[in-house]
Amino acid sequence: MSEDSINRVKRRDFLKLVGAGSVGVGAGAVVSQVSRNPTELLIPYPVPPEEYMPGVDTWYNTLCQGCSARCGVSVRVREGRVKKIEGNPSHPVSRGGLCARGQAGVHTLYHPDRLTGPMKRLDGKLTQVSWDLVLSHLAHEFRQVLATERGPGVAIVTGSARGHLHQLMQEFLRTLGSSRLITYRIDAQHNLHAANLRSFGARATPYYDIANTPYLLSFGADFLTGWLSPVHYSQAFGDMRQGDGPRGYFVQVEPRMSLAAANADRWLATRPGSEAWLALAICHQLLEDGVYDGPDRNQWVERVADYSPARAVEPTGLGADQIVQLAHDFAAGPGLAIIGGGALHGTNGLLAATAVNLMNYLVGSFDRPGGVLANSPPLFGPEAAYSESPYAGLREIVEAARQGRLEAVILHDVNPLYSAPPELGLREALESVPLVISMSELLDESSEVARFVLPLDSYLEAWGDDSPESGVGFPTASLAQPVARRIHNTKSAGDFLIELAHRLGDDIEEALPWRDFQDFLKARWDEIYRTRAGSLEGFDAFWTATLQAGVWGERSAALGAPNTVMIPAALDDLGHPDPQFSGRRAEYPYTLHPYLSPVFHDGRWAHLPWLQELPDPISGVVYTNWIEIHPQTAELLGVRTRDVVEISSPAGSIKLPVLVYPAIHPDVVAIPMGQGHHRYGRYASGRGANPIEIIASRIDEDSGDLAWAATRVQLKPTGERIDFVTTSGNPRPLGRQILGPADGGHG
Amino acid sequence: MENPHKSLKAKWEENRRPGYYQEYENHWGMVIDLDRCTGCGACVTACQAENNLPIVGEENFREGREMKWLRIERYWEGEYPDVKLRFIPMLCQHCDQAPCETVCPVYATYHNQDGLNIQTYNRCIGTRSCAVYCPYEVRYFNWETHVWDEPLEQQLNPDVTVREKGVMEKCTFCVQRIRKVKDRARDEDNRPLLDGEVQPACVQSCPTEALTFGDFNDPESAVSKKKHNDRAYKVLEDLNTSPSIVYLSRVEPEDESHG
Amino acid sequence: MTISIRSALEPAKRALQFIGALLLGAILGFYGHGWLFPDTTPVQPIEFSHKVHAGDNQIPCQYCHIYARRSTSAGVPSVNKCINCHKSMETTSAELDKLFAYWREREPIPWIKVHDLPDFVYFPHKRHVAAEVDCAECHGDVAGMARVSRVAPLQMGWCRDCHKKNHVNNGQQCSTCHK
Repeated sequence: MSEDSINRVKRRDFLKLVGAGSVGVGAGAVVSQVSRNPTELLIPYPVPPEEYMPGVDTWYNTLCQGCSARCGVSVRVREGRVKKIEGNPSHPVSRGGLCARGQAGVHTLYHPDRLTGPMKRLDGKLTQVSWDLVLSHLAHEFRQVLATERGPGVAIVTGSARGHLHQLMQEFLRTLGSSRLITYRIDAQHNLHAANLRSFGARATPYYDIANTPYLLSFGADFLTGWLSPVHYSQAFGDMRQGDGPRGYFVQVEPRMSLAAANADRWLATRPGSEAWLALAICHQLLEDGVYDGPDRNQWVERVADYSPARAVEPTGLGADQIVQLAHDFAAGPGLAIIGGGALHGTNGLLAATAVNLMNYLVGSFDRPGGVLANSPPLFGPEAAYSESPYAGLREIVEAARQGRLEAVILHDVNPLYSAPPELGLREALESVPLVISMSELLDESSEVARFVLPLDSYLEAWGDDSPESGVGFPTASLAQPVARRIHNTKSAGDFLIELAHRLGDDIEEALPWRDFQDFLKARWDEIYRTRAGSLEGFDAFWTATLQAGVWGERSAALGAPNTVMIPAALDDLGHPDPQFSGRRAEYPYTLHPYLSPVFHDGRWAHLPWLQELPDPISGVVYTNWIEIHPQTAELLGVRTRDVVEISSPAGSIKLPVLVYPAIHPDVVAIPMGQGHHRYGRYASGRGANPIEIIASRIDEDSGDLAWAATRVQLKPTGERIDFVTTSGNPRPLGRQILGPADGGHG
Repeated sequence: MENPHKSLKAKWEENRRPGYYQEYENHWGMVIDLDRCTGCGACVTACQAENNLPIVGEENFREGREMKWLRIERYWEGEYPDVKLRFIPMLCQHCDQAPCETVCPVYATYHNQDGLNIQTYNRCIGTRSCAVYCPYEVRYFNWETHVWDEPLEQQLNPDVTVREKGVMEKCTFCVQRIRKVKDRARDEDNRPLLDGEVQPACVQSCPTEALTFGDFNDPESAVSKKKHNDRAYKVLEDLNTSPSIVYLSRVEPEDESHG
Repeated sequence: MTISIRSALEPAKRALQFIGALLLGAILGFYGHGWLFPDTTPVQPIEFSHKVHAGDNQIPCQYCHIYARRSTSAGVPSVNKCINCHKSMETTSAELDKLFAYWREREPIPWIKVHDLPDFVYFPHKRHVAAEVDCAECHGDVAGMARVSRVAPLQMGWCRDCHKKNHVNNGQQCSTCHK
């Protein structure tokens, strides 16, 4: 190699090296850039809200809307966002506790599938429009309805309106000449209210003093998850067990072991629908034993003469001695009897509930600690619940629509196409109504028939109030306030109705003159202030104090003389205690026992992901539902857990995977409600099946209420399997001493 | 300068000595009354809400990869019609002699000054040894980085870290709440903590007041009093883990007197 | 004939030279980038000068960072707070025009975080203010900075050194700072 060539090569190499170096610099710079922490921003408010401090929690008191109990809750808000919901310790309903549903309520606000703005159906498709357009269209349409004739052509069906929102709806309808305001929930306990009205003439649910009772006999009432006021009565249960007094004994009578039965000292599996028989037989025995010697004794003896324990053996499936023993124990307690669930929703529900009242009456459990206590009626809110069955209201609507007498229906926070039996014909009826407006937080089954779908505020964004229906033993009322700013283009039902009334003008506007719903609430609470709470200095002080506390109550208020004499005619004109079922036994061998899911309740909040991920307390199953059958039935059908069966009733059929359940009467199959949504957001849609779809539209003739526990079904194995997930490991303790100390000693 | 390795070893010996916690500020613990517990699951959701537990989806449940720091175990006994169902909430027992602590190669889980079994996420390298050693099966591993569907993430608790893939996690006794209450007490003239002032999310929510939380070092605290109950026991006590959770067993009345 | 490493590597010499140049370049690029464009001193949406406010005009830190003694977070002043002073002042500048533009739109100013701790760290300003730790101990001489720069490493070892020096109660416990 010559010098020359070396130099040439070097020069070429040098250029290559320079190139390599440059690439290296570039790569190094890129690595340096991407390895940096991402830039974080500090974004202060342009104008901070009054109570705002970053990094510090603010707590607001409001009301939970997970069920009709309306627990007082405290909501933790940080930097304007809702973080956590807890029971409000000073609220007499929740007393600081809160159930899983209440906890999950945060996600009603942040649910990804919430409606973000109002929608109108154009050419069969829902299209987003503005509120202004919605209001002017609706004003136009309502004017047309009113132009022809003011009358009952407008109806509101609500699933949750209580307190003054209910009153506002009444007021709105009244100006339109209608009184069709129906509160429909499948979990409404109308027969309980009706029985109390019948027995004691009181328009108030009494207070059941479970905490202090020495002996509790529950006929199907799952008071721990789905009866009246679950959190309140759960607390009472805790106190009954390990409170200051002696431990109460607890017997649960029902065909399928519910969560309450699982916590009972004794569970008695009776034939479905036989609770009325059992209660009457216990009354019979109590009278025979001479437990009751009041002046009206003879009249009761006469009324229950036909229902001796011996005759109750066949319908209940219990031994006569068992029934006599129950009566003895109940008298010795002295006991407290309650009724709920399927027992209240058979064709003899009202009779059963009235008989249960008589049981309490005969052992003198009225107005005695540990018994049934007088209660203050709600200070305001829907009164109709006591005299009129919600299901009867729904049937009326269907009837009116069929006859073309319905012009407009507003569905408010209710999903009757999911929660009412299809056999009722509500879908066809609503399809024939010219104007259906659905107000809901997200698209559901019922919005399919609506021409307008209006997005509702989450309860965490809206004003409201309530005076608890199930009561706490003294007059009380609570306020609900917005705890977070609206995150979508939504409205509260109250604001919407007031705005609509203003658009309609004339006397309608005059009847609803308030600026907005908050304004209306203040006007109404001013009355409470003037009549009840005059001691505070001025209404504003009262309002602020109530908002801060979340509740106002008169703990010391005298409730007046409680009506402790049972109306003699209470048991008259009620049907026979034998339950009636849809579907002949030969063809449909099993009784369907639908029940309120301990997790989802009636399915109203099934769209919340935390609830979908909460294992069912008894089965441990997540993300679906199932059908529970007795091991014997499973053997008969040749199916195992997770095998899919077709469940057919005279009203229809659904398919569900089997869960072989060791604690259910062999004649009964049970399905939890709450799942089986066809359309209810991404977390709930297409999971399991809805038992309400196969419930016959059958009523308790005495009260007009839906008898959802009065359908028979047949099961057919399909050969399919659904591999549902259950989180429980081995379901048997296997002597591992997990549930108790090694020596087995129980204190 | 002291040898860091030596100091680490010294700390292991000190911190993993039985009874270590007694010399320190608090010994947090819980009493769970199974006669009050109904198995309703309110505590499970309360925990999920407080501690940023992810929504894992059905598939992860199927794989056994759910994230629940607190679960309700259910056990059947007997056959129809005399069948019984019992519940027991199962969560990290904050053992004083925790098997999970001795096995962690990087000291990510250890006992702190409050008698808490602490999981330090940024230290964890995901060997999962602790989960293997835990007899109560209450440690949960992040098999993936979970995401929240918008805008669910707005609910996340800023006081609790959002964990990522590869990190082990478990019940902390809501250490953020303990910290908050201690902070408040310090602001108020460094006053002592009141019994019942600290309440983890599960205890706070429990509708039947089955759970009680407090300081076992304080003989006057509710938990100290309750642990002397005749019904008191600890789960898998014979493993000598010395759990900080005391269970009170459910009462089974003699059935002869009733029906 | 002797066999040396040098001669053995002879055929690969040019490749090695090439790789060497690449690595050298990469190191230069990595550190050069960090030096030329430091992330300890980000450019803010408004060229706000702490030197003018805290230095020249002697405004105390907590006049604007009002939450420092009460909260974990020290807080950045709201636009409202800036305007309250500036609306009554004669001074004008391009930067102030930007401020007034944000105010007109009622838009927040997206400040870039200079002192950013990882999300798994719990750092309460309040406790440190209560312990009379001077702001400058962690934030440096902000009063002398026209554009704020991070001077402290904000690494765990650095935190722990200070905790150790000051005998902080439980200052070495993981759970004190990690959440």
